[in-house]
Amino acid sequence: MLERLFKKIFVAIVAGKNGYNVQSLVVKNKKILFKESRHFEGGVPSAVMIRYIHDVIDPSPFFYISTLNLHANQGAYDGCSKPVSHLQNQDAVGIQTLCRDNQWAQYASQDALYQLRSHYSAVGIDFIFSPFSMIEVYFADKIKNSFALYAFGMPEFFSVAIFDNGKLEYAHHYARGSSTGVDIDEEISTMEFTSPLLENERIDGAILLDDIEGLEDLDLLDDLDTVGDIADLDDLEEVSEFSEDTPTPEEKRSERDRNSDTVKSELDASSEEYQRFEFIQKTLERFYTGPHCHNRFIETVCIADSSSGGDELKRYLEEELFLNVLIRKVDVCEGINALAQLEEEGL
Amino acid sequence: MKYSFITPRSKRLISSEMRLALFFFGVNIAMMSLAYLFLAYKTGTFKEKHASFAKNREQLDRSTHVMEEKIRIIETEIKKHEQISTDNTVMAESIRNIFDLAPDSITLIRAELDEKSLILYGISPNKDTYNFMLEAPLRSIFHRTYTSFYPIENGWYRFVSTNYLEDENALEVSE
Repeated sequence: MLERLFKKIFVAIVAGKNGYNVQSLVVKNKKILFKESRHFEGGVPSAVMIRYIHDVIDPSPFFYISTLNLHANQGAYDGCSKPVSHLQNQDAVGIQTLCRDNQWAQYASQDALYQLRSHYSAVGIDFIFSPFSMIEVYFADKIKNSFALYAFGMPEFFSVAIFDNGKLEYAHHYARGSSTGVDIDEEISTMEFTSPLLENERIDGAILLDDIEGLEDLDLLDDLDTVGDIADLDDLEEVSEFSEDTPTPEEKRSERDRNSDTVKSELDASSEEYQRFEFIQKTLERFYTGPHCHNRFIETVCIADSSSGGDELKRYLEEELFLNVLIRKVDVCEGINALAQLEEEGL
Repeated sequence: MKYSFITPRSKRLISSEMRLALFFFGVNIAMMSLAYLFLAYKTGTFKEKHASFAKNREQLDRSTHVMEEKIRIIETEIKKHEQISTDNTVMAESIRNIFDLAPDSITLIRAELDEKSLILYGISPNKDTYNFMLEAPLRSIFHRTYTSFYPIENGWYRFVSTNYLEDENALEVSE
């Protein structure tokens, strides 16, 4: 009751390679009174940053400091049961789960949560969110009523989840490099909930991404529209597509592969986007080869991107995987504060 | 928790400094309240005592009045006693004077002394002795004197002398 008399202060902290991004948000009766973003250099929370946060939270007893779990050992899975069956070579004892809508669960390593709390012990942490919660917030308008692949990327990680009308079908958290204070191995996939397949493992009858790429041959079908009259077929030589100079599908595939190599080389220049492309590609491959596919095909990819760029990734996804791509530029701190507000309302 | 892996720290409405200040305010208010209650209690008991004293005073006033009344009665009685004592003294003196009046030759047998009268019974050798030696002083004292003589066997006379004082001369008798 008395809470209504006080302002509520939300502080989001996001650790990056070059320091910390901090956003403070002052709200009273759901009305934003003040919002400020700051960047602080350093590998650990500096005295300046700690003093700034203390100054920000000082006016009100109702303050909430939140951060994002960047650790590699986290993920999400279908259902709310214990993740024992979903983990590979992992001890489920040290795992903390969070059930969402009794449909799916997020999990994180307790050790990582403890590390985060220790890392921010000078200011204290009230909320630790999973990147999958960020996906929920960023695509709240789409998750509930569509079947698509959703991704949220930061320089330190790339989280991918496939939702079908609000139901989680598949999720994977890709960690890259190492974030501040937390060592993350390259592409740790030990926490995925589906039965993971090895990179080059193939299953008979499975629909693989490469096979999907073969659908590019369907471009030929478009050209059939140019065949105006069936009688014209008598003069097959006039149909350019059937002439000897016309490349066969195999030739086209090899040419496309060459083009693909060209695109990949272009993406190498922006390795981050290429890596994201690979993550999405791998995720699709795993989903299609996994037990949750049920002969469904993903047509849409929604990416929440905190960094600039993304045009090349979009182009490549559209050209190579025939996906409808939606990229939303997001402010991670703002998303964390939005989640903190939602969480605070539920207290 | 819906989204967060951890629960937030408990939020306190008041900071530690404010809590300290409120604590001292609370202590002050408590002390003032206790002082107020103490004074209110003391005032109450004082009023009760005051009422009790007033009642006692009234009772004492009443008893003083009664005592004064008793003292007045006693004083009146003392005065009465003194009056009676004086009267008795006067009476005794009067009786003594009466007996002094009687000469040796006359024998008084009985005397009835009243407030305004004196009746003497006695024996006189003769009437003249009585008339000269006793009746004369009696007549000088009393306003009216009557004497009756009765002869007895040896030739003497038994007499009864009745003497009366008038009201206005009553004081003179006592003197």
